[in-house]
Amino acid sequence: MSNSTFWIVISVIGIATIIMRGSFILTADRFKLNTKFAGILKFIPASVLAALVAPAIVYHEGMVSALHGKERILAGIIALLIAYKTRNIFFTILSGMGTLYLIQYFL
Amino acid sequence: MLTSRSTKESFFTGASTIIPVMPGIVPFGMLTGVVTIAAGISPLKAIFMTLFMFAGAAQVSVAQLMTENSSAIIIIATAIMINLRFVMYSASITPYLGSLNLWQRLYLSYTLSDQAYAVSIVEFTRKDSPYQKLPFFFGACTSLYVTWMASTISGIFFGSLIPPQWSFDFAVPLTFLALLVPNITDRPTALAATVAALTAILTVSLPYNMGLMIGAFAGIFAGYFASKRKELYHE
Repeated sequence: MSNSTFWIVISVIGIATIIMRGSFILTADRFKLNTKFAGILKFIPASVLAALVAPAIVYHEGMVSALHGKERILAGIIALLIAYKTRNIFFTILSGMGTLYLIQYFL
Repeated sequence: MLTSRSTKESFFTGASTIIPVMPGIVPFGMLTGVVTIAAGISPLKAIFMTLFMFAGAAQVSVAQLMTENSSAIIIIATAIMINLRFVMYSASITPYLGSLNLWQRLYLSYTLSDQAYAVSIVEFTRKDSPYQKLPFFFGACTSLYVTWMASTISGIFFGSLIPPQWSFDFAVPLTFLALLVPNITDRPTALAATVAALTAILTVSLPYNMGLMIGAFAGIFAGYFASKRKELYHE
């Protein structure tokens, strides 16, 4: 990514984020959130995050033999279970990284 | 009002409500700094990135997409999609804030965060809350902002010292996983995440990382469709 593209991307995201955060704070409650729009907004975080996570875990270093190259899928499943149980960012990362290190050490 | 606390006390109470969520913020902020550096972004650019964006998941995803050579449009669209939840926070919190001047509005539009919103809305909806809402909210936003900046910037400088064989890049999807789970609150959101994940896996070979957008839209569509069906059956 070129220098100028970097600054454009970061500035556009920054301004867009302030507009989104300020959508109601800046306009001071002059309009109400459309219920249909709110119903769609609700699904955005789960969908975007899942679409970001899944390929990053599944396709790392391709698919080789039985376990080799698939360590991250196993570590991801363990981390998902920990995330579900604890709902804690720190423990989720810790369990996933720990599982990855363990598998890499023993294989 | 005799029971109402002073402006100063309300501000500092708001600021200190952030303390219990710090174990989730500080490592996440440091990690965000680390992965930004791991993505090949210079420390100076990384600092501007955290100042301009002030958004954890969006910052991490921008860093990841930059390493994957995604197009500028995909990177911007992804960050906006991830940050769209702020529209909901903004709509939900504004009625409690009363009248604000322009500078207060701009400041809050820059510093509103998941955690400041979460702790403040809990306090505001308490019936017997003695605190003044606006100073309380200012306190929560400010202390979270300062904590986040300190965490990411220390990660930015610490990050360049980490050797690549430590597989720290794997912390990125793990972070998203940790953020994803609390967003799955019912069957339609679970369906949305599943459909988005499977679609993104199937469309991964498309150019410009378009699979991400296709996966996200497939998930949103599936979730919204499922919630409409649910409403029809229950009414």
